[in-house]
Amino acid sequence: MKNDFEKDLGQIMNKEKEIPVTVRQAFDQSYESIRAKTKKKKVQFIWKRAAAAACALIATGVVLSNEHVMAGINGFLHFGDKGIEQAVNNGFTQEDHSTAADQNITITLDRHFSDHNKIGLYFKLSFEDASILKNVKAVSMDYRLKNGDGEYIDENIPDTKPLKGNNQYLSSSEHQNSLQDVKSGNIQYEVLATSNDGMLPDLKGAVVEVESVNVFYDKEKLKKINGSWDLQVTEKNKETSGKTVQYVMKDAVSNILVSKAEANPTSLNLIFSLNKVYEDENVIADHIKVIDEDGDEFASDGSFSMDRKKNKTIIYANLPFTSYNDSSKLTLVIEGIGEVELVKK
Amino acid sequence: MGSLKDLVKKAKKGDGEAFVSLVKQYEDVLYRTASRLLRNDEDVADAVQDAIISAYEKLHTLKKNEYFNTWICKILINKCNSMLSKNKNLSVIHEHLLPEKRNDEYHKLELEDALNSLNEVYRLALILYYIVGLNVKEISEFLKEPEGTIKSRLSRAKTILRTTYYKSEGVMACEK
Repeated sequence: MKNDFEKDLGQIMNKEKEIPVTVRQAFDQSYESIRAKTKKKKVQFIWKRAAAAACALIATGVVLSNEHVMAGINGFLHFGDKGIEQAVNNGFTQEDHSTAADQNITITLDRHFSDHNKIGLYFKLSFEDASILKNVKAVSMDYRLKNGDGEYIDENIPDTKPLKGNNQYLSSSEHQNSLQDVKSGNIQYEVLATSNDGMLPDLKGAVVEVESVNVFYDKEKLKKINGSWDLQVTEKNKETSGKTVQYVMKDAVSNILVSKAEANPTSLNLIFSLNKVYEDENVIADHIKVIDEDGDEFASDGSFSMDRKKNKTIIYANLPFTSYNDSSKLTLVIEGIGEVELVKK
Repeated sequence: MGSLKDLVKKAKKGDGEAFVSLVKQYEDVLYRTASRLLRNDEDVADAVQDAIISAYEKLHTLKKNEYFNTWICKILINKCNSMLSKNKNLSVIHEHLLPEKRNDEYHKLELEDALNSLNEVYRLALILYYIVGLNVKEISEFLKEPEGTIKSRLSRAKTILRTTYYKSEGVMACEK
């Protein structure tokens, strides 16, 4: 008897149906396409330590207008990354001062840095009408970073706009407002983009194409200001600042096989394989570090990528040991798994 | 297999396998949603494939990881709507079918058929409510229509189906 309409309707709407062959193929083809794209990127980001995200969030949430505090903030890219601090302290940043104005907002790309592992961009936004920033929580930008060859390296855009590149370079991209001077209408916006396989291309001739400025208020309200701001990236000192140091395994017999250990100005890019397939990334996250010849430790912040093939686990990671640290030998330690000695090539 | 939030987190960082795991868990809902909106398997296949690839490319724009399922479903529904609007002439047959005026057409229909013949506006409301699992407020936000309108559509859809359904049973009973 059809005496319970609501029940019948619920059942018929949620009745499991066998997926027809054509649709099954569509699902499977989509999966294959995604797997192929992932392989192309060669990276599978696995785990990000909560502390790093928390650090970025705290920085984003801080609203500062006190002049004393402002004067104290003279650093660059406060992402809590010791490798970047080392690079900045050694003068690795480049000054740009590239400025564009539209929609009563002036955006300046003030400084940046880049090597094969990391890109940092430091913007200043100046609002003619500072009242827009009343009760602001955060400010961000929809932008695309295009290099001199026309390749899109980083695209921070919403799903209402199509991507122009194939998102092949970045493993992660972090954003923060290290300073919001609401009264004067000035905002700082910082970007840290990372490649876990250390394959970021040169930024010579690069342009940051800003398409929108997003002002976030309480209760998830957003004011999107569309415009066009093109900012040139300067790479004039690249030949002197792009120093790299390579390390190789001292003894090839180990359960850790290091295929790349390259120290760049911001970080040590490591690619190594383990003789076992690890399904649980937590066994590896937070357990990777290098120790230099003075006994100083440089631990992973938990960001890494993982690939599994032929009974091996391949790890791609950046550690905060830099080419400025100038050590002739290193010990790579994966706690609970093993260690291997590396010597300067 | 990790939790939904963990998998989304991994997928956002470029882990394609995590993304595939997420979609696989939701295949049935995606298929049922598209098959209720579109008329043939080929269109359903196209919409599903477009939606999955599009979701993967735009995953970084998903703000709340816990809403992945709803988010990808919305992308799929938008793809379906886009296909329907391109093939407007194909769906016109039921677009203006007002059941109260055409009850005779339902007499021999089962609930499933009645559902498929329902006006798109009512059908979409039922799909979002029963298959996607959205509440009235969420449907209202998704369709950008007042909550009262959604409540009214759900109620009206059920009234139409209920009326048709029992009439159909009556006819069948008489036939026996």
